[in-house]
Amino acid sequence: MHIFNQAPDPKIVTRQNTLVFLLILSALAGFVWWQLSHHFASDLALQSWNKILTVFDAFEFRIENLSMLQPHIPLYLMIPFYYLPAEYGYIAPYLTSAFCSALLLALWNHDLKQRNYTAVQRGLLVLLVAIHPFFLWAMTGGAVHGLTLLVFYLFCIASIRLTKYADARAFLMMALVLISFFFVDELAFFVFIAFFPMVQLLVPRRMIDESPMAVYLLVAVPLIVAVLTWLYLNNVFASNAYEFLENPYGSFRGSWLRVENVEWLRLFGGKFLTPTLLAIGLLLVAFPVSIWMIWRARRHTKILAGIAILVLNVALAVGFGSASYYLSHPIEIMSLMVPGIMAALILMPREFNATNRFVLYVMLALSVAGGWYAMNWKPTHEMRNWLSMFTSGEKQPPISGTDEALGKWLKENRGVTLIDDNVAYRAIVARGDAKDLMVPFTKEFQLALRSENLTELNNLSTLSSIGRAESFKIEQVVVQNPVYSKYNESLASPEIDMLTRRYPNLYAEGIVKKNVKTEGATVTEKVNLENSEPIAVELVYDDHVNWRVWRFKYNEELHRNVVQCIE
Amino acid sequence: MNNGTGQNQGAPRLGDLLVSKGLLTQARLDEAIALQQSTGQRLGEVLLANGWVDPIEFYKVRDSQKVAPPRIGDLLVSKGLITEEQLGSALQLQKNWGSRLGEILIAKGYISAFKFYQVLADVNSRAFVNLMKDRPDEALLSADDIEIYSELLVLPWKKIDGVTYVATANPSDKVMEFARARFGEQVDFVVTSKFDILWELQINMGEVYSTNAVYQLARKNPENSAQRVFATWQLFGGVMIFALVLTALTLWPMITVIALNFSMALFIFLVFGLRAILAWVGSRRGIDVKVGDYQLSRLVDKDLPVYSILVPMYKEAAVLPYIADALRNMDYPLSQLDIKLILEEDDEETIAVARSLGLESTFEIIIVPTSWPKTKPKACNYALNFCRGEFVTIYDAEDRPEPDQLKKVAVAFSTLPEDVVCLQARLNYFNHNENWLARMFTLEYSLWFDFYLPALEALRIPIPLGGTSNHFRLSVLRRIGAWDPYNVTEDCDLGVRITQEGMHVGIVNSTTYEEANTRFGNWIRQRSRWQKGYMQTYLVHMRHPWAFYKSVGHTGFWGFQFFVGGSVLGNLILPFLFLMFLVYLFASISVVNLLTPIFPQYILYISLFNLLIGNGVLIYLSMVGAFKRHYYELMPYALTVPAYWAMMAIASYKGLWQLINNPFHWEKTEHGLTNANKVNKDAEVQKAQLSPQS
Repeated sequence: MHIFNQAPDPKIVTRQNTLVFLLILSALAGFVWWQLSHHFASDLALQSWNKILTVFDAFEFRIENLSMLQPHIPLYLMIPFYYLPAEYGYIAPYLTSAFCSALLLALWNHDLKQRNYTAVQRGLLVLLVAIHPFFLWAMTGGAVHGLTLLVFYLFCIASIRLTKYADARAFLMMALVLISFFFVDELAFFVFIAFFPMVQLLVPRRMIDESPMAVYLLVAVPLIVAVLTWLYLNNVFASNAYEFLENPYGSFRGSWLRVENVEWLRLFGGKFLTPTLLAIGLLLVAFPVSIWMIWRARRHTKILAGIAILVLNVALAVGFGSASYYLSHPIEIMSLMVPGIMAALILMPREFNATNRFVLYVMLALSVAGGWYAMNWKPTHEMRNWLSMFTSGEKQPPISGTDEALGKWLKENRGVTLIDDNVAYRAIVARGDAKDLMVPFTKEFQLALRSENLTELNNLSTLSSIGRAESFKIEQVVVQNPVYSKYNESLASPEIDMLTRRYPNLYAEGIVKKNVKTEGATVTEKVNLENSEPIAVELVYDDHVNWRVWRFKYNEELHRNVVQCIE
Repeated sequence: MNNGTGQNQGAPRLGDLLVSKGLLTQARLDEAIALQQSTGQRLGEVLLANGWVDPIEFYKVRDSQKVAPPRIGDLLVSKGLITEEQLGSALQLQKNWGSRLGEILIAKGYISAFKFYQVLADVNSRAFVNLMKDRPDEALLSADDIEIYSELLVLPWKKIDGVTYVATANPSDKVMEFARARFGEQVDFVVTSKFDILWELQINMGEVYSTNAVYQLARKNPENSAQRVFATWQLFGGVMIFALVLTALTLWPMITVIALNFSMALFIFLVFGLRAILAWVGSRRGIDVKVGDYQLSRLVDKDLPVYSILVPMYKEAAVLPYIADALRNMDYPLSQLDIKLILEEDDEETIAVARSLGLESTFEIIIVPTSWPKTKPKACNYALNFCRGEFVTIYDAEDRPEPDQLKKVAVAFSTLPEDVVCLQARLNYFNHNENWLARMFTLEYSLWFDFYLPALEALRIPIPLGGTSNHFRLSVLRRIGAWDPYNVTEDCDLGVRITQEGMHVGIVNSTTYEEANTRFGNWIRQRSRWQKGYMQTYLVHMRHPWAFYKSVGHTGFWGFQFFVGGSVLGNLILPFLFLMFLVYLFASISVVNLLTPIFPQYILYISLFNLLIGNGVLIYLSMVGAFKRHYYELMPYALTVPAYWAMMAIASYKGLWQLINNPFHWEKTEHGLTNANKVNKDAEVQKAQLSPQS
């Protein structure tokens, strides 16, 4: 016996596994290319990419500018794409998702190999999973759900280890996965809530008998740490611990703001039992292979419990997601069944028998067909677009006309511009960069919202992080037609832009100076205000549907004087 | 002619036998017989005194001549010193243990050592000598042979009529070979008791032992001794850095504060990172299981070597009975145990209690002469001179090792490569739920010994040994200079030194339960010593950083920086971080705004990660540690661990102050404060009352 003889886990990073990964990645990237060539671009993907652009092109890079309103890890993974040429940037969410999906399939292939599946069997299984529509939608839906699938697969693997050993490593794996899950996808919360009561069915009975508190503490604390972390970060960066829940643009609240536009929520929002039962039905339709698995595992109590917990976990998560007006469609959570089924196959006894193998392949093929059927049941706007890509071959533009036009105009007419990227993200992506754009996280934008009158914007002074006064010159303001936004179903967040909310007449009347108060102002402010009149403004862009751009006309000499005064 | 060797009538005579075997000429024999008749001496005595025959060959011939030598067991029964039953029991044990009958009888307490050795002398037809009354000739003793004296249990006694007599408690060919090698052909032996030899050695060689105990390492390898606290360059470098920081603070206050803040945040981040990795690696299933139940079940007691156990104690009379009980109950042949109770000369109370307990002869009391520095490692070094085992371990007075620990280690050593020279057992606490402090201590140890140390082993990072239950190959321990008496965490230092010497330390899957400190002041004293010792160890091994890097490799080097160095520096930094956090939470906005400039975004992100995820992970790991130990009731207390970290910071500053002020002072931890002893005793009484026999 050697001192360092503890059997190590089989190596994951091997030449063969790398090759498999690259092959899968190529295939998935090919699908992404095909999809984008059909000009399908999800709003979620555009929003994500817009975040990267605005944060990296900002005067000062700060991670918190990604906002605390959505999980950060998918955004971090997209950062390398920022350095691609601007016109290809918007593919980042898709390629990131494809990368994670390829990683998931390669990892599964590795795990299947450990279970002695042959290369041909593995190839066939990987193919049958990869063409399942839930998998394809998760990968290419624009929300980097490929990463969610990967993390959920690891969650299932951790659960399997919990079932088999319930040792320290199993709990550490589970903790790591749960913390990561929370920062990858807000769905983690629903999955966890559904999973928590079933933990006792997973771990060995003796452990529950000895101390149920210990088991539940070990499972719950990681997620609690993650949530508390997020609350604290929200408090630090947004001065409100609950900002991520209260802000209308936050993804943690899912579709609650768009209930009227989402059929699923109109029917089942606020309900628990009906959507849960419906989810079970849909799962059986989309994954008949799960029925076969339950049949095959009927003599293996632990495996049977594992598969039942998986199905129940997903269905209950759909129930919780619907009850809290989060889900826009159950597929958002039901796609987790794909990695669930993959993990369950690892747990199952290997199918040596040719007949059983054949039945497995047939059931997986049936699942693919069932999946297509389930997707067509009450699809969302984006799902409809995505599905039409396959059926009609219709080519839709990735970014709609008015947004694209504004983006192109802004690209040509550069200058320091106030713009609310929560509604103008498509235009920003179409522009290709966010340089000189003052979006809501910038001090300039926040000063604009706090200003008495937008005419003050010709000179905004602010303090940098090292305490030096800096002065900015806002040149133009982009404003959205408040009427238009109410009727745009495709918008992920159909809100009126923040400038319009602060200055309701901005779209119609432009920048008008009113009731300037100099009382209580500092000398600098008085100089600024007194000398700022008259300011000429002009409408420089109007698409007559959605967007207008108002531009300041500055007295350059005056501006210089004010800057000197401030310094 | 009766030459007094017990031969029977009709058997060939000894002189004739020696001649027939060519060991003696006929003329010499005749001359010897003539001398025998004139002096009245025995023939053998004449032959040996004149060096006419090789003593070893002589005894072989003499012994072969005996037809039915009296068996010592029968002799003891016939003399009424033991009963038939005791003999039967000892013989049965002898079959299993493979030890000598005498050792078993003494170890089991069936006969006193003094009486046994008297009978042994009779069996060997030699005189029994009480060395306390009939002292050896000091001129014959040599400091060069002190290791042999204790190993063979022999001492040169006296020279009488040209024959040098050695006194031994272990008559054997080896003893005679040694005697011949030192004193020529004219040698013989007398029998004495083991205790007489040890007593005499301490009387005569005490000064040598004491000097060796203190200076052995410093002389052999001064660069590894903490006798000098700071190397010159360390002192110079430290002062330079301090001066530079002060200058920078004066010239560029904001940038300097930001740089310091950044350094702290990054350092803590790396320490967290290392600990998370260690916990992950350490959570591998069976990572420290070197000996399984199957291997243990196949073990034959006869194959077990002599095992030395050092039990250093100072003013711990109260816990002496408990450790004696624990050692008695070890699942190891008693006759193969060589237990040394190491007591300080000035600790009269413990010495008195040790004597009054009437311990079996397996327990030997070693009295360490008072000398400076008065530390545990010095006492252990002193006692090491008397050890006879193949392996040696240390237990503290309050320890309760798992009974099969020695067997497990013996099996592990026999199967592991020779370069694994030390095995550390897991440590934990028997009074783990006594109060908040004990709970915190237990959470810390569960993580440290069940996760971190096995991971350090797996990653080949130097392992800071725990203060007890570390098992060594004795010969190697002696070779590398044993413990550093100037280092107040000599165990930590030794673990690092072993790795630096190109050998390995392993962790073994057996636990020793100790007494957790339950009192704040006592805890601070103990922890401040540990922190000071870690500082000493760090300074010693960083005297030559490049040499250290080459000897332990990059993983070992950086692991050492952030594990040993990180343990100390992290605690020293902690108060600043706590303070800033509290200011942020509770101070007014204007005060908080003062902090904002020293947290540029890159520092802010690292600091937030450390605060939220780093601390969260450490708290969680504490829970997992308790879970692995099945201390479920302690798990919720993991949430209060930050308060324990604050205490660590206090102890660290005390340790730092002492490092500068009083580096070799040994802050004594008081043991025996737990209520668990009383509880256990009550439970035993209750159990006895309930048992059907009672």
